[in-house]
Amino acid sequence: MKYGLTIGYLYQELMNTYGDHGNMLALKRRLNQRSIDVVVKCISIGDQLKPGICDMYLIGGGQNNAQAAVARDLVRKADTITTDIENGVVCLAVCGGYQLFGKSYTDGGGREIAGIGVFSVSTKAGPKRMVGPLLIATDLVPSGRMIGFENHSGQTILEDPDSAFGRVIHGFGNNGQDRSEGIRYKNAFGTYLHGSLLPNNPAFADYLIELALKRQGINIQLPPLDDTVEKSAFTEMLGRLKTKYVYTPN
Amino acid sequence: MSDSNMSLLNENKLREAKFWLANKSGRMAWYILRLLGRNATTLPGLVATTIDPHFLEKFGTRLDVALVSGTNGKTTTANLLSQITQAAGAKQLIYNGAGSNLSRGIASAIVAKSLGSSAQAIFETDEADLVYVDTALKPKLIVLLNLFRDQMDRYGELDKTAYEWRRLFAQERKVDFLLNADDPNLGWLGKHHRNTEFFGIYNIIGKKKGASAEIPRTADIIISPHSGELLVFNEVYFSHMGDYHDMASDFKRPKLNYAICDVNLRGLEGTSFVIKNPQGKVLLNLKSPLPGIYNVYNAAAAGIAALRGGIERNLIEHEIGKFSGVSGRLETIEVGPGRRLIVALVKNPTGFNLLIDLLRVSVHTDLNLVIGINDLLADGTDVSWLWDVDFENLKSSVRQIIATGTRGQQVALRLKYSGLAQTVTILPNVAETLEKILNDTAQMTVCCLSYTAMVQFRSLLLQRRIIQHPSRSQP
Repeated sequence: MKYGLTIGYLYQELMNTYGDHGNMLALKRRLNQRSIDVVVKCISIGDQLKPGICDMYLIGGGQNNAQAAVARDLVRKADTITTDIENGVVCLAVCGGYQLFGKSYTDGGGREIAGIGVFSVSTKAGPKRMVGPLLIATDLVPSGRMIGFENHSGQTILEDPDSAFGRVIHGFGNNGQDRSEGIRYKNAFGTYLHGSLLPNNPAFADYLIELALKRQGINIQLPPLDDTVEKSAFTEMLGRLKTKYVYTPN
Repeated sequence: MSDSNMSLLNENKLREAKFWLANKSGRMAWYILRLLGRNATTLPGLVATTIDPHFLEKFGTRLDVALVSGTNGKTTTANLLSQITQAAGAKQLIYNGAGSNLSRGIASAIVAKSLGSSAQAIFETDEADLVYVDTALKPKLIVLLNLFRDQMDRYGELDKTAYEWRRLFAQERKVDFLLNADDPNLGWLGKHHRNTEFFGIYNIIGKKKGASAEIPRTADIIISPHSGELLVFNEVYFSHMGDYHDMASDFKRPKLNYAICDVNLRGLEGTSFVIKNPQGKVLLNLKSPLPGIYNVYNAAAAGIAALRGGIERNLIEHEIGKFSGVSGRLETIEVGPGRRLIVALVKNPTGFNLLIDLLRVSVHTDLNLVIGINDLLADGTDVSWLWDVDFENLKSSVRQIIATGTRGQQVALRLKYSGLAQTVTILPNVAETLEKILNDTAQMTVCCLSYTAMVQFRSLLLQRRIIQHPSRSQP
């Protein structure tokens, strides 16, 4: 029996500054290799979006001007997206996308942009940019580790501290203060990990795929792929961690 | 003499003495480095500006300065303009040809030349330093080429640089600008400025007007800097460069003072085009060995700046016709009978995608490729941008790829997701890579290298005497 997933790719020509397109490439390839059909719907400013169509949403990070334009349009899609996420649709929102899926984003000048409130977080632009390799501990993958690269001035505060999906080992994470990284709400994930995230953390890519399939009633364990190159890339990134970013562990 | 006059005189003497000391010390540092056979493009300037923090300002008052800035192309444009200017008789021209473009690099270029007979200077300037260098040197002309996403970890965001550059246009001092109208950020910045002239592309041969007004996925700006709404493009030449207008306001590409017409893109062989004024008169008829559409902008900018400076048309056309490039920015190197390397600097998705387009069009035989990406400070520590490069487009052209550099594994990972895994070999460093390609029989190998990887590569080629100079354009 042939399985299939529909991925809603949100504002990809605007939220495209940090290589997050790699997440789409990773999902497509890993689905293809398991002979799972994938349909990609590119959704942008002015497009209609109905609930119940997408099994997964992807949104990446973009520049300030682009994010402002996206925020205005997201308001029109907010009902559909929140309905879908309440119904367990999988979502990966990175950086700017993460911020816009929160309740609000306040920029350096004090101007507040409303988010769609999928995540109970709010973000404020901080005084300095948080840039560098980001290594976290997490239960979402068997190895317990995920790695990437962050680049943001926004400090994201979680209303529920337990809703983070990662704990920062090296880097800044959500806000550079409470050592939390990312958020999980139902099957929606927000994160600051670029790199990009899914190619470098294939177990997480597979986890998202399994979540999306499970929601369709398909409870399979995905056959493993040869992730040798992924493992080498992970090791390479680990080797690039610089000591000045390291928190002294408690 | 009154007390206050005396102290004023002493202050002036002190200022002059500091400048003299900074200049002499910088020059000594330069001598010593050159004697040791080392690169002298940063440290001498650092010495000079440390001794006298106002070194650049004092220097600026003695000279006629032109600055060239932008994300891509400033080294090529500045070098080409310097070449033309020297050929026109400016024998003591000061310029930072090796591409060291932060303020200390500019100071280094200054101490390397004795100030006595120099009247002119042309400096390529890093985008983030431009406002500071402008304040210090008070140039007469600023040439701006483009703004692309580049080294995101250093600059944070594209819009931020554009916003900073607004200060240049808002200042009282008279300064002339020559801007690329095809970049929406530059069209917006120069819109109301009295002393700004614009150049841009009018038509490309073989491309129907309006045929493809679709912005590539990796374009950096499609939001209007004026209204914050989407820009609409009548023509897209590459990435976000083209003929645009704003849906929500009357902002659009400015009128061209210099129109680049009849552009003929001839793959790796170069380009030809004509520059006309608004009345349709041909100002320059150019044929350049530099390949790719981005080099059309570079050659045009240099040619127009030279023309505005009073340099004769024939000389400009001649110099541009023979300028085959700056080290590492797409340079051909013979490594044996019938065997050559092409070395290209890659720094961001736009540049790399353009290179891939060039290769697809130009190469008829199977291609050998080296992709060497380091992530040191000068390369940019964030290599996520590799995921926005469309390596998939190489699928039918490439025979073998070597992935190397401090992020060689990430390159290999990227290539795996492009469907190119079966062609990839990973080597730990540039030295081993060079060994392998020199022992190979391939006729042509294209080496796409990040900045420090390119510097390492060239230094190895120099050691083996395959090339003669560390940089083709040492000032």
